[in-house]
Amino acid sequence: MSFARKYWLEITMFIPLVLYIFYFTLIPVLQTIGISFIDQSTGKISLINYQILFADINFERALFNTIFITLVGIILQLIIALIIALLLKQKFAGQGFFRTVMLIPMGVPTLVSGATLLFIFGQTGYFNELLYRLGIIDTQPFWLGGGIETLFVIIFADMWKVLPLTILLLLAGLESISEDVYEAAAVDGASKWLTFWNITLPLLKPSITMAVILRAIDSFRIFELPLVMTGKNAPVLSTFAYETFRRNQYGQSGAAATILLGIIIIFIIFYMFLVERKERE
Amino acid sequence: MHITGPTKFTRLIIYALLIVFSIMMITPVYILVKVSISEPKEVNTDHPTFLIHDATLEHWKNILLADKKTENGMVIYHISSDRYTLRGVDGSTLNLTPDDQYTINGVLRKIQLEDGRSISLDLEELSKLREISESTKTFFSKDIVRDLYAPLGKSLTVATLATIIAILIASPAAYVISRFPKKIKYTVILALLFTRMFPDVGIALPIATRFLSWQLTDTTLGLVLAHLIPNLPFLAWILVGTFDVIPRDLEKAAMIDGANRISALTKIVFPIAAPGIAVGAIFVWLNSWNEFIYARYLSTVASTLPIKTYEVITTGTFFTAAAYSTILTIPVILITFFLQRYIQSGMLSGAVK
Repeated sequence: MSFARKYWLEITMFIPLVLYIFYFTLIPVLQTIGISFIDQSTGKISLINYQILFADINFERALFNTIFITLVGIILQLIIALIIALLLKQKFAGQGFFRTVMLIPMGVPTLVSGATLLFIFGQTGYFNELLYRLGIIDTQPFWLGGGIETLFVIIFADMWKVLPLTILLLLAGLESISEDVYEAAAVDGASKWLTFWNITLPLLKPSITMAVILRAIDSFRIFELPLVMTGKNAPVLSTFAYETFRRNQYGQSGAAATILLGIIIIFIIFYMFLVERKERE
Repeated sequence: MHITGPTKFTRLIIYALLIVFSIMMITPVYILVKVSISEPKEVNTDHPTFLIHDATLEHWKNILLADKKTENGMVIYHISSDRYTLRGVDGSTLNLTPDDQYTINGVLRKIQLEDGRSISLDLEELSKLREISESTKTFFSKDIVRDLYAPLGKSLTVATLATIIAILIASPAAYVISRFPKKIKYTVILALLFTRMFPDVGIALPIATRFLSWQLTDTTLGLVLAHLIPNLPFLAWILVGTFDVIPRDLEKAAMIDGANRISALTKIVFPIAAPGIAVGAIFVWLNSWNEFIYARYLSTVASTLPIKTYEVITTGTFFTAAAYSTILTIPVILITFFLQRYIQSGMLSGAVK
């Protein structure tokens, strides 16, 4: 009682947020997990929704596409973002200009970036035209039909949109590394490559971990890009969950969302485990 | 020891690489604007032009000035065989040859038939068309009513209301979190971050059914409530940092001077935090302006601008799609550049989708 009286102001200020998150985030998530284990026709607890999903070719594709887009996407994003961050860290005239230019995609909504990359990778789009003018192709391949090339187009679209974020994360990490370390390495006569491999990368690890986890969460949940760019040609788990929801198959939608949540949690635990173990060695 | 700067040669490589990457970053935005002001003949062809030859403001006029414009959209996939017969609703027959078709990107493509009539096909029909050489299916033309201002108004209202409520709920909570003992503080911050792991589709599913029974589907209130879901933890999280740097001694001093706790907060702490709250609020506004998934779960008709834009992208012409997309982009790109120096990596993780 005295606790409540002493901290009444803090409690009043803090409680609305807690209630909102509890009522509009936590409870819904638990409900979704609950729905996924209930047979809609009988109302009994069962695994029927999961059985239906794993017999569904579209679900299998969605599962594969989601994991492929995330894993391949993150690796490519990290490599390219690291290259750009290393370039931007150099001292040269026009540095501010290039830093601003690299931020441009951040000012473009995901939905719009999907639309404009549709203009580029569509059959009569600008990418095909470029290849045609360079004499690489004479027919017009269709990139968005749902095959592996479609996944790479989506990965590119996602990468374009999030590169600024990844670059800034890594750049912040690079800039926090003290110049002294590099000077010491130079005194010892270490080559540039050795310095990068043995000093920069290990010291950058916290930033990389942050980038990987944030990107993985968003990339597993990818929704707008596959939807806008391919319609139903390249389903991912989120779009699959939406489609089943629209068909009133709440159980399957819930099961797909639960699997997605499971994948995200497993990925983070697995990644943390890997990083931790390496650190101990 | 003096460390030498980059040599002339490496400097050249740095510039070359940066220019390549810059082109990659700029091109899609350029294409977007270009398409929205292009003459149709520059885009609706097998070989689109890269440069703007004849600019036109026709498409912009169409969507900005026409309050309600009916457009016959129509929608065809690349058809490889020679000829299709399509039967109109009235029984009349139209012939399509590959010459009158142009492919529009991606999933749906459009065609304007010579007599001004149009047809529409959905994806399944399109794939059937590709498989068989002749189709006698009856296609109904679909009129797509365009209306920019209703969704624009709704988006502005929803984003603004969501931002105001987010500030009212999240900023007091963020203050309290920042004053927690260290251990509890980091647990709470971690818990806030943890909510980001939940897939939107998982939260939206029960929310959609709940709002359906509350009759909140297609309402502004429903959207505001939904947009608060990702934004409250986000705003609270970034504001903790803002309150962290305000020394506790300031409040104590104010209270020694006779202020009670509430007036110490409203007169001292929150005014100091105001710039930080403002920046956070702008990001919340942007998130809500861009929000797509919840709006899609909670709408049966085109409601917010992103939903409308999506509809236009999939069923409208290239040009309206590009123009709508540009309108959606303008506030985001402006704010991103004005707030550039406030965009720190931590804040970024949730901001500006």
